[in-house]
Amino acid sequence: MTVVHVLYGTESGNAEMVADDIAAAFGDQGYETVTAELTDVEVSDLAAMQIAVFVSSTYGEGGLPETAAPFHDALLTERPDLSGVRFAAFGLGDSIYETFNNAIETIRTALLELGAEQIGTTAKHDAASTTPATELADAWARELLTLMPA
Amino acid sequence: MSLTIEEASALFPWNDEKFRADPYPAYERARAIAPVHRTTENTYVVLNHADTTHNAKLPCMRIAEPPSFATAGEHPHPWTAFDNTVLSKDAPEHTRMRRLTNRWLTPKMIGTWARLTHDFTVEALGRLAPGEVVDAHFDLGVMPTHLTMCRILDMPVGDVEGMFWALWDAMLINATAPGEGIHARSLAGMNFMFAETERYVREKQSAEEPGNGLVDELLAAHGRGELTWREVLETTVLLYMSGGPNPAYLIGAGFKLFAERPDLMAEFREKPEIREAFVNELARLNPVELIITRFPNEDIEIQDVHIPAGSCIKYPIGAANRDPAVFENPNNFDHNRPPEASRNLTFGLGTHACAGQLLARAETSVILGLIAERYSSVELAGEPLEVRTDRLVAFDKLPVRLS
Repeated sequence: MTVVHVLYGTESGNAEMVADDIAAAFGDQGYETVTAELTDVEVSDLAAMQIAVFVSSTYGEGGLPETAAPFHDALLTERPDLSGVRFAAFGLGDSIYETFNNAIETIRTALLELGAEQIGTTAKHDAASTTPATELADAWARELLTLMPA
Repeated sequence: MSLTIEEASALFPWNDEKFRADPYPAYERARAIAPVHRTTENTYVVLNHADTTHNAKLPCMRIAEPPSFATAGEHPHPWTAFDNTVLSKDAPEHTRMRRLTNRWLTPKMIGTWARLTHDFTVEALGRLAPGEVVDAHFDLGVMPTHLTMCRILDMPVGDVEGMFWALWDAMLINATAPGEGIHARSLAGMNFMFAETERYVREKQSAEEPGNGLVDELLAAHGRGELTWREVLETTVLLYMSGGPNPAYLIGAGFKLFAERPDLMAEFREKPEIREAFVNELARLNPVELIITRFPNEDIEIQDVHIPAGSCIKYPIGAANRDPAVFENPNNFDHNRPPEASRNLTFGLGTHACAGQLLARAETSVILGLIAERYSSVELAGEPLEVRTDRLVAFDKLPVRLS
């Protein structure tokens, strides 16, 4: 059975909520899920994950959330071979800022450089829209489920 | 139509009692003339929802007042007491200070805190004799929410009424034209809040065992040299003083609405699924802080009006919240508005949006839920008393009878 790891970096807790929503959507379809904040994830454990869903807000002036920055630093330093990893990406931001959803792009770029393969499209929730993040997370997770290996 | 500064200024009689009690007709008249008005040499008022939501959160809209706006001879401005908090900081310092509280106010944590509010409210209601008149503002609005904040911070209850009115006095200086004697009164209120809070924080600091609250986390960071004493103190005062008074106005407005509209109280009771939208609509019609003020640090244009860097822009929240271009029948309470017509600015917006808004919304929902579930009616037992400036509103007394 494929284990889906939902890994999030958050500042105000919204990415954590989205991570829970995504895990619930996968759980409803019978997948085993593990949800963890990026501070609790060792970069060396990443290569063994078959499916990892990354969720991250953008904070301050386009930066990573405080809890995601050390993970990203470790990725760039340790440079693990992620060629067996498939990942999906969900970002939260506000389109009024030029740095809209910078953080998930930063994480995505690092993962791709290290050989991981992205599945699905990168979701970018916009706080300036009227769609609640939960709603987008649910719809996006359902789309992602159709792309999962049988 | 282009008005002179004098004509535009006359549209917003900020100090007029009638205007303060009900500024909405004046906003509407002003909007009908133009969406942006220049009311002094360097002050502009923006009235539309779309212009406000777009512009007020632009990175160039600084919250810190440029020195050119300081009033000569009245130093220090009482609110410089919060110069080391999110209230006065812009990015990147704002980000650093906001991070101190973020993890205590996540959507998940709010559930824990709202359960405390529930328990404090149950206790308060348990003390009421049948038919007894209660001040819904203080006893059922300020107290349960202040007690909740005390638990988040791990601070003692303190002089709740004293702090409430000290905050009110301190806020008076933020009126557009505060008037004589207000500077001293505001400074005294600020000094009271700081003295009370510092005494408790010092006691915590010298306690043998640290507590388990947000303030203990700040003190630990101070011990590690990561925060200055002023940063610890100012952030603590900010949270300690505002945990009760700000949600209390929203809660009081809910009591008033229940008294006026028993049908809505019944709906709140019977349909828990509408409560979030209901509280949001309550917030739209009843903002506590009435004007967002920003100072662009570059020239901008809003609706073809050129606004030079360093100007003061006032965004009256009540004007945006009742913009008929967004809200049909804007003065009516309607919790069934579609999502695109329910986004209001009561809790601010952008990076400076209220850090405690999820808490305030949850507390309001919990308290009004308990009232609706336990009682069949709310009756006003006297005229509700409010205190107002053009910038702020609070209840003074809201006597009700629950049956």
